[in-house]
Amino acid sequence: MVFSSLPFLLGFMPIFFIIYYLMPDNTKNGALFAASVIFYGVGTWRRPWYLLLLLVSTAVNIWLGQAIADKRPSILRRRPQSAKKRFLYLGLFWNFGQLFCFKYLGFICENLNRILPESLAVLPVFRPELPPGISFFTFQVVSYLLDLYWGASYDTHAVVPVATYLCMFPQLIAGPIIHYAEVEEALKRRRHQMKQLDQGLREFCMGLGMKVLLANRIGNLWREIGAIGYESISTPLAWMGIAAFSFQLYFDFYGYSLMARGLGWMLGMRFPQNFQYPYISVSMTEFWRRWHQTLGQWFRDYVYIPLGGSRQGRAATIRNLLIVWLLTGIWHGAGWNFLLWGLVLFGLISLEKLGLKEWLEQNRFFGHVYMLMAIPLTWLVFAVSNIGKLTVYFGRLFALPGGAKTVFGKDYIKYGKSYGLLLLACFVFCTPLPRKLYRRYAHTWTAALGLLAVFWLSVYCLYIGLNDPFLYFQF
Amino acid sequence: MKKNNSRRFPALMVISLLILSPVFLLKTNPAQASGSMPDWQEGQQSESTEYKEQKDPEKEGSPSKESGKTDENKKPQDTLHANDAAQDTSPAEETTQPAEADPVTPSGPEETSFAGNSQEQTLNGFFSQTLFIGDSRSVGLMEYAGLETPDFFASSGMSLFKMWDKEIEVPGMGKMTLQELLEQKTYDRIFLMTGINELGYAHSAILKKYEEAAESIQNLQPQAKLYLCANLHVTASRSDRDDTYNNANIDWLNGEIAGIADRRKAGFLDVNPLFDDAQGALCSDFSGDETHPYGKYYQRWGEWLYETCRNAEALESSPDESNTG
Repeated sequence: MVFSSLPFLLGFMPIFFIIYYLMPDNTKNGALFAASVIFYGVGTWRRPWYLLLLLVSTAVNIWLGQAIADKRPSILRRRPQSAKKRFLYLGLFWNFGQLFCFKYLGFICENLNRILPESLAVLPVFRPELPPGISFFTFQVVSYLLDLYWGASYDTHAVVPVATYLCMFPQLIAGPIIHYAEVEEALKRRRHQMKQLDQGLREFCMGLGMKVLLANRIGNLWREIGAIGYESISTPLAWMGIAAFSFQLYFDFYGYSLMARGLGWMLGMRFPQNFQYPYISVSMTEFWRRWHQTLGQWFRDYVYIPLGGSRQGRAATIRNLLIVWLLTGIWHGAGWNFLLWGLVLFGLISLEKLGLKEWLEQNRFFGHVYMLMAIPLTWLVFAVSNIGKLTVYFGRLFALPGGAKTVFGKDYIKYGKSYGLLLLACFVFCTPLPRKLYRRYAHTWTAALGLLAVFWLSVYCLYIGLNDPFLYFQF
Repeated sequence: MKKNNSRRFPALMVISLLILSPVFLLKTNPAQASGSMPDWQEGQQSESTEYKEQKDPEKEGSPSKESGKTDENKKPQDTLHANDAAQDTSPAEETTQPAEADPVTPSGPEETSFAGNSQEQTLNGFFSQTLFIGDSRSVGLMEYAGLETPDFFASSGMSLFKMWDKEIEVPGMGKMTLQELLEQKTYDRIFLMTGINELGYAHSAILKKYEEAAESIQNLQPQAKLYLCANLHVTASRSDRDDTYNNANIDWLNGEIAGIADRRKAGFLDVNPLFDDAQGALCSDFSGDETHPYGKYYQRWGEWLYETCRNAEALESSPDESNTG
């Protein structure tokens, strides 16, 4: 089930919250866990073993957490100190192993088959559909186990709160990736206030509007360009297309994150924010501090800093950055374009680390110009998985000779008429301006009625079939 | 005061949910509001917007009131039967069948038979008194086939049910209805390329509308040679997952169109062999959305139309040859 679907908006969500608010406080976690299982089960009803996998994985990780966090004095422990490490390794193997099998094994076998001699190139290519949210679940559960290994004092025997933390439906499918410490207190006891419900509903409506009214609609332009074929688009349309994809990706994921955060508020929890106007950044380093913040923090806390961060000299810093960005690339997908994308980001961020960032921050105009090119061009590498097609698209962007075939020269006028205003609206909504305006009038009837209109307009769009899946669900 | 503020929006939401939810829930189309976990591959290759709306003939004021028959018509065995029937009465022996008169080898659209300015001139000369009427595929021909001389009365999502009411911007002529266009200008050839967008309607209603359209065009332009064009297949993966816009239904419709062409002494053109894979579906390498060919392939389509029509018309103009052949 997805947030932007009629069964969720008009069925699951209202029914769940009525039951949830009516239940006594000490049973609320149980209700949330049960609802999350139903949510996941409905979404994976064609592949019920994915639900089984989620439940087994949750149970295994709770047990591993308890084993790792054994805080009794060594004399009372059933297991020696070194066993902690073995349990951690077991946890990493269990979780990353699943991710590897589902997401990367097929890609590796496929490429091995290509380079191996013909007689040996017989590896089976196993490319199953990804269990929804597996990448987010894996990262969240690994953060839980690593925190425990590094001495976090979580109550691992509070089985229902931990299970709820791992599976709660607002963030199960596409994050935000939450540390247990961020919600532990709320999972133990939380207060439900009208103010939180109000805030949550408002954030949810904003997120829904971004997803349905902006991301889905502007995404059609990118899809239409794919249908035309990159060889047959004019240079202005190529730029419009990559701008459309950049907006689609942002409003799709930001919209989802806002909806998740809104649901968190309604549940009495405060989820971390995932976006902070990334497109106004003046450097790629700043961009990645503002984009998918919880993923960036995960890589910082569990990869970059444990590797030594930037405190072991320039060479080690560059090595650590390379590792982090290659991992960021392949986290987003098993494909050469994702590796290339990670490498490009590494290159830009390394350059910025060597001094470019300071200059860009001092010359903000040039910083914006630089990002105006860097953002869409890096998203292009991200978006187009076929390297040949990627080359053609770059050729069209810069009107290089050779790549064009039967171009309709006025295509940008045609699509400009259809999408021009929407592109402009997307541009405006990438800036802090709409939020500032909203804050000013948040407590007026106008704002409340406006948000209500956004909600029902989105519902209407979904009703007539204008829906798309979330882009970030593929990860 | 603040307390009241924080109750305002939840209260509005609850009231509106109580009032409006039933409106949407009672009419929810499960195909459109699927609650299943999305499949990105499907999403990425999702249908063109022109196909998104499931049509209700009753709502559209369709001439068909045989709602009971609609479901029957949509049964796969019926569509297969219809297709078979169409094949049985295949107009293969008819001289109005250019495809049969001069079979085109399904060599794939990559092979461009000719290119260059002189050939473009040949094409544009041949189609100078030509009108294309149709949906997004005709729009594709208009934009990417390099045909500059013909007129196009085409728009994405063009439907037989609205074809005569809709005002469309005809390049070089302005905005007008089809009736106005056909009354204003005289054509040698008219191509009708539509039908697939109607597949959501009752099948009997589609055929009735199609036949009416062909008849009206012939009445308004009796001197013109009318060509009824088969609808292009969709890719196998789309066909497998789409209950409406699948190749079984498209083949059924194409068979019926061939029958109409036969009855009305019009030409019937089926370009599918040019774009099909071995399974008879649109080859996935030729399409980015599983429905339309890439822009670069429309030029070949235009050339194919030229070759096929030229050969068919040559055969028609030498009756002795066709009789003995």
